[in-house]
Amino acid sequence: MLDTFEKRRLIFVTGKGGTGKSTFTSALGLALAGRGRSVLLAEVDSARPALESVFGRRPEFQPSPVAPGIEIANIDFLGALHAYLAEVVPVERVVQLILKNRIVQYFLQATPGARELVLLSRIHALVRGGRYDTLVVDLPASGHAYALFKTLESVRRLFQVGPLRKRGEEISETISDPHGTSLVLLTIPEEMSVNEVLETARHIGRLGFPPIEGILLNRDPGPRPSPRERRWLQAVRERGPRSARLALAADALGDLDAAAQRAEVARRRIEEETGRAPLSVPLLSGGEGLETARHLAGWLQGEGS
Amino acid sequence: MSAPMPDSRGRRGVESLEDAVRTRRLIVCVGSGGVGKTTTAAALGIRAALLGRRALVITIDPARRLANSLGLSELGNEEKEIPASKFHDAGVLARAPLRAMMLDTRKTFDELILRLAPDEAARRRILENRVYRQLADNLAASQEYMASEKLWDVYHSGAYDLIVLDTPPMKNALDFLEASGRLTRFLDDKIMKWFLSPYDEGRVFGKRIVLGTGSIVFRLLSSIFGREFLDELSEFFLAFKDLYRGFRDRSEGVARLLRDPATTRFVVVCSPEEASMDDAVFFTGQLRERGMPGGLFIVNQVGRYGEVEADSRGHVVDAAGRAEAVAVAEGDGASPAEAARFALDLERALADAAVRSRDDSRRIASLARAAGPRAAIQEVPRLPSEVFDFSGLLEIDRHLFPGLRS
Ligand SMILES: Nc1ncnc2c1ncn2[C@@H]1O[C@H](COP(=O)(O)OP(=O)(O)O)[C@@H](O)[C@H]1O
Ligand SMILES: Nc1ncnc2c1ncn2[C@@H]1O[C@H](COP(=O)(O)OP(=O)(O)O)[C@@H](O)[C@H]1O
Ligand SMILES: [Mg+2]
Ligand SMILES: [Mg+2]
Repeated sequence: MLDTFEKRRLIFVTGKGGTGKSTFTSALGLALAGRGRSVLLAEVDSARPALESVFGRRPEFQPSPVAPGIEIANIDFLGALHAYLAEVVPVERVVQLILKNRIVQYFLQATPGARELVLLSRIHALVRGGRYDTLVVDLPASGHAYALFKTLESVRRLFQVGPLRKRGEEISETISDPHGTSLVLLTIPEEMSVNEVLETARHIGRLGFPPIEGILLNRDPGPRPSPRERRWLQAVRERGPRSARLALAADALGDLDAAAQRAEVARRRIEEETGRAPLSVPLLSGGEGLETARHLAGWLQGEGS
Repeated sequence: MSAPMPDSRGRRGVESLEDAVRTRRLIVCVGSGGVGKTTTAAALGIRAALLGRRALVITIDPARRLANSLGLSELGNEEKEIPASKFHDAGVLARAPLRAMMLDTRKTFDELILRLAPDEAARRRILENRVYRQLADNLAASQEYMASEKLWDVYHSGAYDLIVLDTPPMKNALDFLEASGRLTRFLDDKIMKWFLSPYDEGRVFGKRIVLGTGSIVFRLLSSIFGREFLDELSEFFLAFKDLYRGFRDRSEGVARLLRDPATTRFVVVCSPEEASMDDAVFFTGQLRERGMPGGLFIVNQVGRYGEVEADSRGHVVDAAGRAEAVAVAEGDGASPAEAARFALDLERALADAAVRSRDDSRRIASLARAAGPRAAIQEVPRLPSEVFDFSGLLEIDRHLFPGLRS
């Protein structure tokens, strides 16, 4: 998997909240940097940047280094807008004037897609800038991520001509490039999360971009206990064991089996609907923040070879 | 609307979840994705019905199986009553009707236009405007507006004693909180007038407008965003002109509603995972800043094994229990090695679960510290399976309201 990611310049990561987007983004960054690539990990207009809890440093609009080969950033709207305006308006004083203007602010809030287009412009500029081998974008939850991409279509419909039309087309071109760009969809073995990932895959498929690299089933607890063990477990629970601890242990093993069963269902559904099995990422135990990301990076490095 | 509330406050003057369900008129469930907001919202609605309050649950993204379990095969933009048989079959009595609905953004928006537009021509002009169509199509952008729209409607229908509002995940929930205020500001008459001043109605629909005196900002906006788009947007504003007042009145009303402590409680739902707990603390601060009444927390999906400690020899299951497990397996054809393996698997599952549960307890304790002494935190254990039927919701209810009988 890492071999494939190594070829990309722009990788988007999305999925329902809590599916591991930020953890995976960080892990991918660590793994790619481990192979000598220079990577930028970016969140998009995040009120509470998760990369901070992973790398112990708050990502700002301007990328900053956090580890060898890794920089992080938070592409916030105001920063992106500033950058956007600075491209069109050469005089910084005028840019400031525009930014501070109440009318402009209302305008941007009112205009559907203005915010998204400005954010996408920044992502595009970072890719074009060529400072990094790979840009990994930790997108917001799938609904909003889809809205971000769909904006490009809206722009095409809203503007027949003009500067926005041109900008939209440049961005679309980068984001549609099957060699340079890919979208990773994350899910965990829960029904709602699988629903969301399948719906997103359908929507993105209809939209036509970005190219979907694949669906990852994160926090996969692995195979169920053997059928014989399951039968014994059932027997233990049915007789109501005299040992309270044994009863608890039976519950715990039962939970584990239930989780593994959910993962089986998730795998089957994804394969049936997309024609491709998801790639399983194991449920890692213990550790928070950077620790989980490190474990996952280690797993990525092992898995890819 | 602000009739005096019966006082059922618990000791220490801390309002409990039960107090809120008994006395408030609006409960808003917020929290990060996947923690159980929708499930909780449904359970709170059920509790209200059991207590004899006419309740409505407005949800955003119910699992189909959850909708089914409420007997609502296709939950839609209309309020639907949960069949009394659902309660009856589960052996409980609904003392008031419970209704549920799923927010359909597009429909709500269109309905609103229909209602606010002064005449057919105005209505058509809006519905056919490209900016409007994009706006209404862009679910992520308008879900929040529409939630508050619908809320206003049902709140004033007089049909409900309690409305339970489910919200989209965290980041959007913030948008949701801000939506009404933002809309109000956006619809500021002065701003509208300023923006529309280079245009006027006659000329917009004749030949494309020639910029009159034109301010610097306007010229800059045109150079950046393109003149064509400004025209389109102005048309949109023009078409909306007559609707402003209606919009503004409603969004101001919703903003007041959300801040009225006699009416509203926000319930922060979270799971015991680090990220979700952080979000809960963050969110509490946001509510405080906005003057929105919070103080209620539900920590959902808490591990149940925190009490378990290993004995001096490292066992989490006592010798008798291990022997019992081995006997069961051997009685069903297991070899001694297989039976021992089974016992080991049981122990390992419990030991791992215990570690995770203790992590949960530690994080809940730190949430309690952050939330302060006036907060009420209710824990709900992680159930062995997902919650997708009525009895599952009742099980959640039992944990949410341990002092109450169904
Ligand atoms: N494979 C995994 N095994 C165990 N825990 C994981 C795994 N992936 C993510 N997590 C944990 O799940 C939680 C949510 O992950 P996060 O990356 O913050 O999700 P998101 O960014 O999608 O909201 C975090 O506590 C993270 O440490
Ligand atoms: N206490 C619980 N034990 C087990 N599963 C739960 C519990 N609470 C919720 N769930 C399950 O977790 C998933 C997410 O719940 P949901 O209410 O849809 O979350 P949200 O609305 O916050 O995204 C659902 O599959 C639900 O059945
Ligand atoms: Mg994240
Ligand atoms: Mg939900």
